[in-house]
Amino acid sequence: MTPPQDHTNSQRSLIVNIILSIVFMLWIIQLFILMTSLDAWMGGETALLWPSAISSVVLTFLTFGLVKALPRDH
Amino acid sequence: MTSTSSMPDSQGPNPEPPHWKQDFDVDWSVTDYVSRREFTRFLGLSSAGMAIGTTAAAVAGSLPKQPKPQVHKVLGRVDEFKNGLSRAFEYPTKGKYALVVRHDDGSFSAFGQKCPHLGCAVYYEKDSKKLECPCHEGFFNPHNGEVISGPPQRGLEKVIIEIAEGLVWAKGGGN
Repeated sequence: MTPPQDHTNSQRSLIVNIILSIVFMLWIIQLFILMTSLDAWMGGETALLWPSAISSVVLTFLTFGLVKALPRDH
Repeated sequence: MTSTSSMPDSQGPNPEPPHWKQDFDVDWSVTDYVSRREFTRFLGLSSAGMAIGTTAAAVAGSLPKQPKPQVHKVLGRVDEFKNGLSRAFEYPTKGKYALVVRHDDGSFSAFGQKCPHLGCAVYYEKDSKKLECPCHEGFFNPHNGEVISGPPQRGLEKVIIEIAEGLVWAKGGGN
């Protein structure tokens, strides 16, 4: 990936917008997974709990990767 | 909505600020400004929180559960229950209620009265022959307790009913 200092302001802004959009979508999916897990747990359904937890952790790592890729603020 | 007609007609060197600026006097220099970067980082942090919450639910769901005590209780004689009607009874413990329904064919079924959505008490609607939660209009099948429609995501807790020697017994289940 090109170092952030090589980007112009408008390019940096575009990158931040794209990353923010993707992170927000991942966040919504994680919220859905959390609510589903809590509902399943309270209903005594345990089959989905660990797959949900693993998916949520994977999404967190993806989110962290995207946050780390955010261009620095100059 | 515009309010130009009510604005003062002053075009001098120091025009009076518009009315809306006086009503919503925000000093932007002292206002906390959240940039897109900060917001994205906040989403990242809360994402980790949600992952921890989901994992905690998985761990809690994996812990061994204590088996529920099987409470045996006589609900009454069979002929006390009329076809097409229901009766609430305290089960399995004091302060918790269940609902027994006698169907038109004479068979029985019973369920915990607590709606799995937000905990309101369900009742048997004899005209539509459905179990109904009045709070958010959740409907359940009176034969198996499964959700027919509405916001509940799972069915009612079933109570095991047995008929023995002319008596109706509740023998486990419920909430």
